[in-house]
Amino acid sequence: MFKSLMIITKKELRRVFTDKRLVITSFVLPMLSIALIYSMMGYMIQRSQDDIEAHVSKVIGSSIPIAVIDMMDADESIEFIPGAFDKNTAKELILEETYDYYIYFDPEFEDKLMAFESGPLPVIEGAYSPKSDQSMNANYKMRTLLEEYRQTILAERIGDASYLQVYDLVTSSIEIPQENQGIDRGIANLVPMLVSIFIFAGAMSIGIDSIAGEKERGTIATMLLTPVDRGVIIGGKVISLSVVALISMVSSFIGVMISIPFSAGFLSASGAFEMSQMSLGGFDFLMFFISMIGLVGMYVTIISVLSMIANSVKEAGAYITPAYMMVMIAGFMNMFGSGTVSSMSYYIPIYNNLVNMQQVLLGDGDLGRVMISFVTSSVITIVLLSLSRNLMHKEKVMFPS
Amino acid sequence: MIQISNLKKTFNLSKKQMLANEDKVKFKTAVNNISFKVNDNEIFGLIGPNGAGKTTTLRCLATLIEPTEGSINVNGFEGHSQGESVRRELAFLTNELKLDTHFTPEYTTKFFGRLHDMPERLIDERMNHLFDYFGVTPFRHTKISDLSTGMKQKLSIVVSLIHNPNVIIFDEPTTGLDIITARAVTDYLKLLKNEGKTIIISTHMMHVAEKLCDRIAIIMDGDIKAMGTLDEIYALTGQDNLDDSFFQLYNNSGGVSNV
Ligand SMILES: Nc1ncnc2c1ncn2[C@@H]1O[C@H](COP(=O)(O)OP(=O)(O)OP(=O)(O)O)[C@@H](O)[C@H]1O
Ligand SMILES: [Mg+2]
Repeated sequence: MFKSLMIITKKELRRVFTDKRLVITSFVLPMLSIALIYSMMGYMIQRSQDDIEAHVSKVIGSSIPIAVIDMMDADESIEFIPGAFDKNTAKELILEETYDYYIYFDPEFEDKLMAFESGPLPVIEGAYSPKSDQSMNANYKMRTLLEEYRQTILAERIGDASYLQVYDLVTSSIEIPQENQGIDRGIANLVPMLVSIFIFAGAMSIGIDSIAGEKERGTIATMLLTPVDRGVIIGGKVISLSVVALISMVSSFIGVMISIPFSAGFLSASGAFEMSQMSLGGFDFLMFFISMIGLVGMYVTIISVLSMIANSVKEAGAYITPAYMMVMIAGFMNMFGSGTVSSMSYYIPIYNNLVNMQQVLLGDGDLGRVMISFVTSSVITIVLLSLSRNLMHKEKVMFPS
Repeated sequence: MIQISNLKKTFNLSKKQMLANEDKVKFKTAVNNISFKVNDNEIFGLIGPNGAGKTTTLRCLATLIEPTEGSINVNGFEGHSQGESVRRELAFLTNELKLDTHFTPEYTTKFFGRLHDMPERLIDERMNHLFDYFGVTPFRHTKISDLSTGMKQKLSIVVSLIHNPNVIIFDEPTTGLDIITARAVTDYLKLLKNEGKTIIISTHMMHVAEKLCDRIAIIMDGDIKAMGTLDEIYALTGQDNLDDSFFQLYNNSGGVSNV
């Protein structure tokens, strides 16, 4: 029995190791893709972290005590911009990302501070924009700075340990105007990547089967015997694949939305996003869907062309895996991107659609940019579509043996 | 009517195919120079060993692949350039063409009827007739994957004939079938012949050819070695049966055949 077991084991291993394709798909590709994707992720996270850290936070405010201004001046990562700003203008400027943080001290702050033994605690208010990583980082820095300030005041009150409370700090995220409120930043970063990957994965498994699988099983050749043009046959397949991809697109989008009440805790940047806070209008959804349809067209035709070149399901899997990796990388790049988007990005296929989706979700969607990306995607889709039509007429592709 | 003149088909080999043959050539001439004519009301047999070029010839005829040289005419339509019209004229059956086993016989048959642009009523009529003849009727709603090999083959025949074509090209139609099923197939081919159809079959079963074919071409290594009625072939080889005639020709040609 043991001998037979060994014979069979050896045969199985021989089957795997003498098949170059299997070796590549099961050993080499996973290793490379994990190494690549994780390094990319690490790199992107590091880069956006570095970007944020390198950024000098621009702080504005009113009635700030000299001591605090001195502390800000001493900190190289904080720049205090003097000037008189009323609360509302300040908040607007922060939303526009001209400045990062607004700090407001009670006009009688210092008096109240002196009278700590009797009167009420003085109030400090801070405001930041929940839409900007820079602003949220400024908020964090200012908290640290104010904590230091509190310690110095406490040090002056030695012996009066019972008065540990120095002031009330009230920080608030700035209310974003309704029309460009969008969705929480953390969610907006994640959703495009998820949706993109789901669309690709959904179309991939079915596309491989309906094209490479039919070729392998000889069922597509039977259709070639009918008077129908070969372009029509592949056209029908591409359309049905697109329908599948559209369904997985809608269902993955709905899935993400359903999960928000439960996932907001770890997805959302502020940690407290609720569906009721979402304010995306019909036009936003339209732009979002145009971007998704751009992706669907490209993914479906990429999968079709690669499945046609392949002579078997296994081969198709090997050809499509690298494309899948590219899709994931584009998703990660978008997710961990530093927020500043160069105008060139709107011409980079796949990535451009993701950027648009993200911006739409943030309430900053722009129809012009959405259309640039859509046209780019459509051109690629049409090119790949006519390529797959040509491949249908290639004897080496349709009848390799 | 089918007219094939000086048909030649050369395949460009892929790297893998190239390395697989001994002389490492880049081309494989599967059909060298073949000419024959098949009339209406006739069953024509292509007989040859494995790798002789039978399937390749028939694939060219069915417009699945394009001839390297030569011309093909099917009922007045020029082979590849009028492919769509040629395909309307003919039925082609070969064992590499399969039906999707996920569907039922009825759905599959209707699907192909529709691709042939047939009106629904006519599809139903033809389908019921063919299902009855080949005994598919009880299985019309069974998934194809659950059918026996013979039933699958019979369904393939039904599907290929759904549009009532005038030209029937069957590549080894009885291979893998038991004698009862095989007889049903050959009987139906005779029936079609009597309706005036033009029929080509390929086979390496001599007894099938002897019983069924009006004329025969013996093909080896991409060339026709002998062609005519059975009697003409016996006269040519000095034998009194197809088996011996075949071996006579095989030995004369040096016994080489590319498999
Ligand atoms: N697509 C292809 N690429 C390369 N060589 C091919 C291709 N198709 C057929 N051949 C070769 O052409 C020759 C003729 O093949 P063909 O299938 O026509 O033979 P056949 O007479 O049908 O044989 P069989 O009885 O085995 O079916 C064989 O040597 C085969 O290997
Ligand atoms: Mg053959």
